[in-house]
Amino acid sequence: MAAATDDAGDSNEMIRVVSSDGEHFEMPEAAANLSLVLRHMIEDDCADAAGIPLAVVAAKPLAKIVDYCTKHAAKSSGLTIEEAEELKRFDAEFIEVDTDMLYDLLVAADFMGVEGLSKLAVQRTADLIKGKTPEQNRETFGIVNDFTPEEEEEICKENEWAFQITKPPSRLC
Amino acid sequence: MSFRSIVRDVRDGFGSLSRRSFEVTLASLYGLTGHHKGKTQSSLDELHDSPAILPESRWASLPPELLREVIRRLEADESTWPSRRNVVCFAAVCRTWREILVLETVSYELNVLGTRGPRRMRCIMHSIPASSVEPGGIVPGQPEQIIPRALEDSFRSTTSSSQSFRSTTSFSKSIMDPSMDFNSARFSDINGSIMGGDDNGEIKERPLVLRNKPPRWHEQLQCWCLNFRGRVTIASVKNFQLVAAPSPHPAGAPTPSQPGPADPEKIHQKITVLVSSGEC
Repeated sequence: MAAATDDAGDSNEMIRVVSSDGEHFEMPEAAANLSLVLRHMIEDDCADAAGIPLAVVAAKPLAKIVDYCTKHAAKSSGLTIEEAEELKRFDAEFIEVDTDMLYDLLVAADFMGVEGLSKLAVQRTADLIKGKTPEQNRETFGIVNDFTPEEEEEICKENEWAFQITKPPSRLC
Repeated sequence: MSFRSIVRDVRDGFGSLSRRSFEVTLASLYGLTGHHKGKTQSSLDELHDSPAILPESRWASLPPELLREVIRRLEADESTWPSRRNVVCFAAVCRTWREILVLETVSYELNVLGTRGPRRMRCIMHSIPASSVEPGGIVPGQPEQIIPRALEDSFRSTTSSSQSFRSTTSFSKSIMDPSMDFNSARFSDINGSIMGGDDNGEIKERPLVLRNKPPRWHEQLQCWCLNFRGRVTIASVKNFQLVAAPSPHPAGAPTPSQPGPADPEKIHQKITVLVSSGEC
């Protein structure tokens, strides 16, 4: 679909997006294109001066996402080994966030269709879960144990086999 | 329909959505100022009360598709399959995390021969009723079969009920509310409207349950064999074929027993392999 605005073909054009709480952000078109939703909106000529409204993404995570996309768009093709390493370090640092922000990024990246960031956030979540007991995971993610004591006992019994290889902790759940 | 018009619909949706939230706010205000006691007030109380009783983390209600992604990551990183410790711990955190794993995915059962032998798999297809594999059966969830009634709470307010709405449903839904996974709308969720519902609580339709076809022990080759009709070339315990579980037993039996030793031959002549996966 052809873009009809005068400067749509210009890759330096800034795309405006608006967070759910009304804050405005700008990023290069190449960065916005990393989001499937934004790319479709741009292609369909919906990116105007008013900005693309992102009804479910708040300003805090959106600022991070704009950072992520801008960084990755600038380094998208023809990476040297050093640049690739640098981008990896950026990602590692970028995703060092608390679980609240991680949740927001996870949901927002999925919603906006930013594949690289989605993967990064999912991997970070999995990494946080790994190696922890259920109770530790509840603490990490602030989750309430909603099993009845009977259910919990059953789960423990059912899963006993899973702990046979590793050293069995005194209390599994 | 062009993408452009879909986006228009979505944009219209934004408008009506904000109108809707405005109404809600207004209603809450009325409730607060006491102009409207009764229903508004009580629903407001419920809203305020429930988080106080159960301070639930957002993580417990992470959208199912994202939870599934996390599980996939956990499974991919798990080098010691037999223990699957991380996945097991994941399932023991809370109900939602457990349900996503126990129901939504293929579950492997341990077999008496240890890990080298054939596994037993059970796959519950919440989106597909068991009747769909019977002669003349249909799979619900195709756009023309979804009756908006079941989904009206989520959808009605976002559009002015144009005929073209149905084809845009999926897209506008994903724009509006990422916490709902429309594409994997559970069969049981839409069951009520398709089957007409049943006040007695008796479910007329069961979700389709697939089980892996048990392999046969091949005396000469000294291994378990499944007939993939030449499409699989590498022997692996990960090769499997899913068939519709033959048991007409109503839902409620959590682990159906293996068919009796005399039965499989007969049953497997009648049923069709629905999914087969193997290394080739």
